[in-house]
Amino acid sequence: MIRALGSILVLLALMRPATAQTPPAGFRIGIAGLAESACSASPSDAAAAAYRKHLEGRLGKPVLLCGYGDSKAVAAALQEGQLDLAILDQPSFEPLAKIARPILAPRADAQTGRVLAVALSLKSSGRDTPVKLAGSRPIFISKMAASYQVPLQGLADYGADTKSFKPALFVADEQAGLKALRAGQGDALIITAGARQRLCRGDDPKIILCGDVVEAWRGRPTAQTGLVVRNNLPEVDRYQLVGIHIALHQERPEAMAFLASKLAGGVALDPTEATAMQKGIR
Amino acid sequence: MKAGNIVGVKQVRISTWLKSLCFVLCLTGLSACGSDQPDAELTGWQKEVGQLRIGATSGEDSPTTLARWTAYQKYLNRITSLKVEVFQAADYNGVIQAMASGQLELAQMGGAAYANAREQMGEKVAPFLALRSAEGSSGYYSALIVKADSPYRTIEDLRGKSLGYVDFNSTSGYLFPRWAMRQQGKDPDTFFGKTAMSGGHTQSVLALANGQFDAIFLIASGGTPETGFTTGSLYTLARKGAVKISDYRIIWTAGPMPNSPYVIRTDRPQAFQDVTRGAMAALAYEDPQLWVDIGLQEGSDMQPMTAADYQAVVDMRRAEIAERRAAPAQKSSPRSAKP
Repeated sequence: MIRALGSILVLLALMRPATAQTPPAGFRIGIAGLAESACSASPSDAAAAAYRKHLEGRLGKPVLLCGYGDSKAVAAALQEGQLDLAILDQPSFEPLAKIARPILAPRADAQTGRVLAVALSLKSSGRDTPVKLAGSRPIFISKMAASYQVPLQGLADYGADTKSFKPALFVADEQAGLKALRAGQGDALIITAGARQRLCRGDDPKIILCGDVVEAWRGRPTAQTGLVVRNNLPEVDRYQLVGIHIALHQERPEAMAFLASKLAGGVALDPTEATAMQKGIR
Repeated sequence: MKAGNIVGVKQVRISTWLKSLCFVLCLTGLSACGSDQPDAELTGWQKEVGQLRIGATSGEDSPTTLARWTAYQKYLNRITSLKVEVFQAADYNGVIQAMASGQLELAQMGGAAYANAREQMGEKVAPFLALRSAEGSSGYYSALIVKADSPYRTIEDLRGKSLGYVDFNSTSGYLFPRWAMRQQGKDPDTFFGKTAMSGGHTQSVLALANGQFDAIFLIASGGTPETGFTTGSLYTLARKGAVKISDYRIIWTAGPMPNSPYVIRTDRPQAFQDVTRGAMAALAYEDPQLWVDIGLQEGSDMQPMTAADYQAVVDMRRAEIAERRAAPAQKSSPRSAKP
């Protein structure tokens, strides 16, 4: 009797028609704007095919590229567990923040990633949060993106009203910047974390160099696009994906070019923190 | 002056060879004791690799090197489930030999040491990561350092004086500055009166402090000649209170040269290499405080590297060796100075 019941259950399972909700076998990557609307192991786009093949070889299991109409549809599929990896834009990611995380984001150019930067103000000024920097005159040490546009964007992402900023003061280096800050020529010295370390760490443990300033902000700009996985992906698999993708521009440039076309640009991929696509959260 | 310099190198080579032997024997001994046998519960690539053995040298920035690897040890163990062990060698050659004999999976070494390893191991070793600054630069410098109370202000002032190199396998402490001097029309073998190897960056600083050399070549990083530097052995020692920066002066720099690579055995499973690379590269973003705690520059991160990135260093090393072999007798011999 039990054996017969078991056979019936097996038969029923075999007869159950495949539905749109049944995820196909393999490692599934959701991408908006693919030529194919279903999951495929043979995308028509040559660069997409190169990426799929590269990843399949490295992961040692079948890889499918799954096309969707837009980023929101990709996000929905990831939420439903239909995908293992998704290329998302920031607005589509936001609703998934509790169940998913970005692992990689595009790097604009060789010198410019999502730079970790700080805004320093005088303790006596009371400007100790991004919001309180409204109306400030910022001081920058370079017009290069890594020292200017990227930190400025980061500040805005953390709630600073950068549009209210007075015209910026540009100085030669961080030492000159601190001097200008102390002289009242500006209200916030905005520099990379590396420059802050050069400025404030000093060479003698007994000397405190930046005792009169406070970090009103420290952070990276929000990633506008990224490669996203569910939080329940095993850690070792997540790092394997990171390790494969950060070298993609060197090992398979055409595959990187394909991803860049779906990520709104980028010359390479950098790892990200879990909160990289959440505005104002470090 | 060439012969004298070779004497210095030979002294170090003998010493290095002995140290290397001890290092390799130490590793072999551990293997023989079975203390690093693969975990029986591992499967797939983890079972194939069995363990992760990391070689750390007293290398480019010795005071922070071991702390860095100890932190990585715990981190990589958590991620890979592999037994992770860190072995410290007294010099670059110890790590090179251990890696060449298959006793290590991973190590950090200077570009010149990698060039040496590449010559010995071919494509079985590859650079796979290197540090990149917050501003996107991925190089460091060799600084010619003198004591601040010395009369030396330019490299010309050091003609005929004594100089401390770090190690034959050091990029910033030997290979690169020698190459750069030649580019400026100065033969380092005849320019200085005495040269010798100190055996390490820290040892070089101490030897300079003790008056054993008039000048030393040393790593300088975390900045540029224009901005000044924040990291490197001298700065690390200063922060520990061992020396005062104001007691020293940089009078010449060469660089930038590509940052010291983290190298890996390429005959280990690809998945192992990818996981390790991903985990190490992600740390700067996922735990920035730990990143700083282990002596790395705030806001810096790691970028993937390839053999092509270090080809110029490999070529420099080949040229250096070729020159030494071609005309050792044509140059007069300097006195060797013991560090």
